[in-house]
Order: sequence, then structure tokens, then C-alpha cells
Amino acid sequence: MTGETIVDGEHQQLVRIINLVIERQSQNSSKEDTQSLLDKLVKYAAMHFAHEETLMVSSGCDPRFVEAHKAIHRRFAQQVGRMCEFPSDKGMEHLLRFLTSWLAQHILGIDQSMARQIRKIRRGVTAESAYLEEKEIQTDPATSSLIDAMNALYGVIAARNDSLFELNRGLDAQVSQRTRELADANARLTSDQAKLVEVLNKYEDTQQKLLQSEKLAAIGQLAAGVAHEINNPIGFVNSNLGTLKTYISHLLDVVSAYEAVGKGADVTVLAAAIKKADLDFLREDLPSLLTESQAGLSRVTKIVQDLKDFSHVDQTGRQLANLNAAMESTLNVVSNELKYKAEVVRELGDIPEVDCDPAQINQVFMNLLVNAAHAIEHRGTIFVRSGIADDGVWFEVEDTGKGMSDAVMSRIFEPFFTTKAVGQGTGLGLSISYDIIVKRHGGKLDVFSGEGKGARFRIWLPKSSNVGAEGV
Amino acid sequence: MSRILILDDEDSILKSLKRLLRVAPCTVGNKTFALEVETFGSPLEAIERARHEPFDLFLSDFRMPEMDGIEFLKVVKEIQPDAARLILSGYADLNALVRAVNEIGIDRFIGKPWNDYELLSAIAQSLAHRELMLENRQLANLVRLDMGDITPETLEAQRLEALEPGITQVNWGPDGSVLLDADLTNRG
Repeated sequence: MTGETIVDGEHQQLVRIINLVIERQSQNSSKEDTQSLLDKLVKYAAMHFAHEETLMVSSGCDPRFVEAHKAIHRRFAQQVGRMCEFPSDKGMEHLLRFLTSWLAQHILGIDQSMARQIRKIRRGVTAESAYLEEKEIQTDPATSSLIDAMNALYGVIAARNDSLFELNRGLDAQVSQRTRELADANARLTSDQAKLVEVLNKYEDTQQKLLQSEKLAAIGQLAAGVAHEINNPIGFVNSNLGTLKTYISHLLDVVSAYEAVGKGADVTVLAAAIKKADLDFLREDLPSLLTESQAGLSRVTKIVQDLKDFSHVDQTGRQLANLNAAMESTLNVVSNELKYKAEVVRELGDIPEVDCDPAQINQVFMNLLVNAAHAIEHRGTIFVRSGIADDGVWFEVEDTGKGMSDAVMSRIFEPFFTTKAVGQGTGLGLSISYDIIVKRHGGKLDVFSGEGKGARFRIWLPKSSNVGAEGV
Repeated sequence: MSRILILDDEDSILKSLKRLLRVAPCTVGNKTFALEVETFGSPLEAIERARHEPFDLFLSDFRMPEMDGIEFLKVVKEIQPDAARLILSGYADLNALVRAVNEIGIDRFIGKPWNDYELLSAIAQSLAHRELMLENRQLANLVRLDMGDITPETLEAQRLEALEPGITQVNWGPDGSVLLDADLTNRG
């Protein structure tokens, strides 16, 4: 007790508030709750310090003492503020311990000293001698030196606290700087990734277009052969129809002559008409003209059907397909290209249906067959074989052509690699075949050849595969 | 009577052409050619025939198994250089067309499917052109003979050479012997 009513009352109030904070803290009440109570404590302390300072001045205490006391107040407010600003894990616990010890020390130490000086001044002692007496007080040397030591200790801690605070602030600035840099780097990475995704999409798009254009180029190569094959029947059917027109007009002349004779005309008219029509020849030629023309039209129909089967225009994507039939339809389409170059020998085995994209497999078959025909310089044989192996089916296309060297063989699956003359091939056929068989169907595409020894391409496809199911 | 040899690996084409040439008149201007048509499905057989019979015109397909139309016409041009040469093809390949014109100087290239009228007039025009060319040559030779630029012996040699190419050339062996045509000896 200081003996000063206001000061003592306020001291009691401070101790009550601290007890309340400790109670709240031990009950684990919400942070906001404890925080608001702390705020209240700090405000109350500030008010109390103001009262003490006014009291010291109005009582006429020695200015040196007033200044020292004020400084202690200021430091306290500063320390509490910093502790609140940088709460650590044990922040609240540390803060409470600081508050209780500081207030105990303050109330029992300097405040008591202040009260004694005020009392002496009221008794008529000068402020200066009261202050000096207080400094020399010997009544309780242990307590006095203890308080001095604590003040000193407190000063050291406060100084340490200050440097820690500075360090903390620097760290904080560093952390926020690093955070900014990280955020920038992150943003760059995100935009880089977006660009990569875009490039990847473009690449896939290009790959699809390449596949499509290679298919078109291959069909273009076939087109000349197919045109020849279609133009031949159309040519003779058309010509036969023209001849038929002449035949019929001659026959109608004969009929007219018969009518004329019926109406009483001379019989020689009829004989002349019959002679002109060459009736005997017509009797013999007319049926064969019609039969040949019909056969010609059937051939055109079949070519169109073969083209449809080959391109699978009506069925795209993955399905169970009989690849022997696919090979047949491809052979039908390519036969126009092959028949002037080679005899095709089929050695097709009994194979199960395979889960695949038949239009793509046909494209591979076509590439292999056209390549085989191109490899044959004059006339040769192309063997087409199939069979079952390793839970899948295999196909072979072998030719008796000029074959290739090891150097060429090592590069044939590279895009744009070709040994054909400009305009003869795109250099993409085998590269795309490899893509279709290996990447899209999870199969294998192998080649066996030597210079002058012909070439044998072997495809193996699994019965069912889950690889690259995208359609083209 | 104009003699025509038609070569195509497609039998139906040969038959339809035969029919067409039998019933339709082959006319140019007011001149009509009476035709005698022989058809062949194999170039080798056709060449064999051309070695023994003269023809006024050869009409050939382009794409055939044994040899293509250009090679065939090249061979018959050696045998019968004065005959007209035509190609009838559904294979519209510019390279083939260029070769046909530059290497053997074909008279016409007719596409398949053909128009009957165009085919007939192409044949008639080629025949008429050939007749005119031969007549010109004969008249020019007569003039040369009159003017003494050419001897009757040379003229006769030319006539024989035209009939049987190579007959006026003698193939001497190193020992002074006369070598016979390899083809003839091979044929026994």
C-alpha cells in the first residue's frame, strides 16, 4: 500500500484485471476475448500511469525521480505493445508472466518509493532531500538492493527485447520480401505451364493433321490406279451403249419394214432392212454386249464398295474387327497399284477378331502393300500372311523387291525419311504406321531386310488393348 | 481398206471398240475409211503380229502388265515407222503423256472413258494425215528423181527398207561373214 487512495485503488483494479486474464487464459476461452481483456488492461495501466505522474508533479517530487519513473512507465507500455505485436507460441503465457512480475515489482518498489517521498514532502521536507534520502535509505538494505537488481535486470531484458524486436521486424521484412519473390516465381511458373499446355495441344493437333494428310496423300497415290480401274469399265459400257443405239435403230428399221410389208409393200424392202441390220450378227452380239456392259457396271459398283470398306466411312473408332477381311478390302483397293508389278500370294491364317480401329489398320496395310510394290522394280511376288502369336494376331507383308541396307533400315520409321523420288512419297507412311501400331494399339512393328533380299514387315497386335484409344 | 491394230489388256474394251468400228463410219471431211481391225490383249503378241503384217495405225492402252503403251509403241515405231500411233488410256498421268509425245511422237492421246465420235474422228484424222504424208513423200521423191537428186536404186532401197526395216543394212562379222538378224536365228 502506498497510502495514496487513488493509486492504491488503481493498483487493486490492475491486479484484478490480471487475475481475470489468467483465469480466462486457463479456461482456454477465445483469443478475441483474452485480447480484449488485455487491451483493457493496457489502457487501464496507461490511465493509472498518467494519474501517478500527475500526482508526482502536483506533490512536487524531485524532477529526477519524476523523469525516471516516467521512463519506467514508457518502457512498460512499449514492451507490452511489442509483446502483443509479435505473439510467439507461448506469447500469452510470457505476456502474463511479464505483466504480473512487472506490476508486483512496480507496486512494491518504485511506487512505494514515490509514496514515501510524497509523504515526506507533505511533512515539509524538500523534494531534493526526500529524493536523496530515498536513495540512501538503509532501513531494508536487502529489499532495496533486490529492487535495484530487479530494475537492472529488467533494463537488460528490455534492451534484449528491443533488439529481438528489431531482428523480428527485419526478419518479417525479409519474409515478406521472400514471399513476394516466391509469388512472382509462382506466377511465372503458372504462365510458363499454361504456355507449355498450349504448345502440347498444338503438337497433338499437328500430329492429328499429319496423320490425316498422310492418309490423304496415300489415297491420292491410289486415286490414279482407281481412276484407271473405274475409267476402263465406264469406257466400254458407254461405248457399248452408243453401239446399242445404232443396233436398235437398225432393228426398228426392220420392224418398220415388216409393218410396211404387212400393209402391202414390196418384200424387197424387208430384205434390204434385214441385210442392213446384219440380223445374224446382232443375234449373236446383242446378248454379249449386254452381258459385258452389266459386268462392267458391277465392276464399278465393286470398286466403290471396296473403297468404302477400305476407308470405313460408316464405322469409325475402336471395335472388334476381323483383320483378314480388312486386309482383303485393302488388297482390293491397292490391287490396281499391285497387279502390274507383282503377284499377290495370300497365306492368311484363321485369326480371332481384334479390338482396334480398322480404318487405321487399313492405312497401315495400305502403306506396307504400296511400299512392297514400289520396292519391286520389274515384276515380283508379294506375300501376305497372318496368324496367332502371344495372345494376339500377327500380319506379314513380304516382297521380293530390292530390299534395303542396314543404314536405310535404321531410319525408315523416322518422319520424312524416304528413298522414293520427289512426289512419289511423303516419307511419312512408315512413321505413321509405327505410330498407329505401337502407340495407338500397343502392338509391334518389325522389319527384316537386306540389300537385294526383299523386305518383310511384321505387325503384331494384342487381342485387346487399352492404349491410346483416341480415334482419328 | 485401212488396217488398224488395237492393243488393250481388257477384253471388254477390245470388244466394244470392235463393235463401234464395225457399225460407225470412220469419216473425216468427205473421206470415209473402211477399217480392218485386229485386236490384241498382249503387247508381245501384238509386236509379233506387227513384225509380219503392215498396219496403218496402232491404238494402244497405256497401263498393261507386260509393258506399258509407250514401250509398245516405241517397238512398233521401229518396225513400222510410218504407221500412226494413238494412246487410249484412263490413266491420266502427265508424266506418261509427256513421255508419249516426246519419245514416240504419238498422234493422239485419248482419255478413257472416251467419246465414240471423238475416237472415230481421231482415227480418221490420223489416217488422213498419214496418207497425206506418204503421198507428199512419194511426190517429193518423184521430183527428186526427175531432177537427178536421187537415183532409182536409192529410191528402191528406201521402198524396200520401208517394207522390211533393216533389209538394206548388212551386218558384217569381223571375219567378213554376214551375220543374220539375232531375232531370226533365235527363232530358229
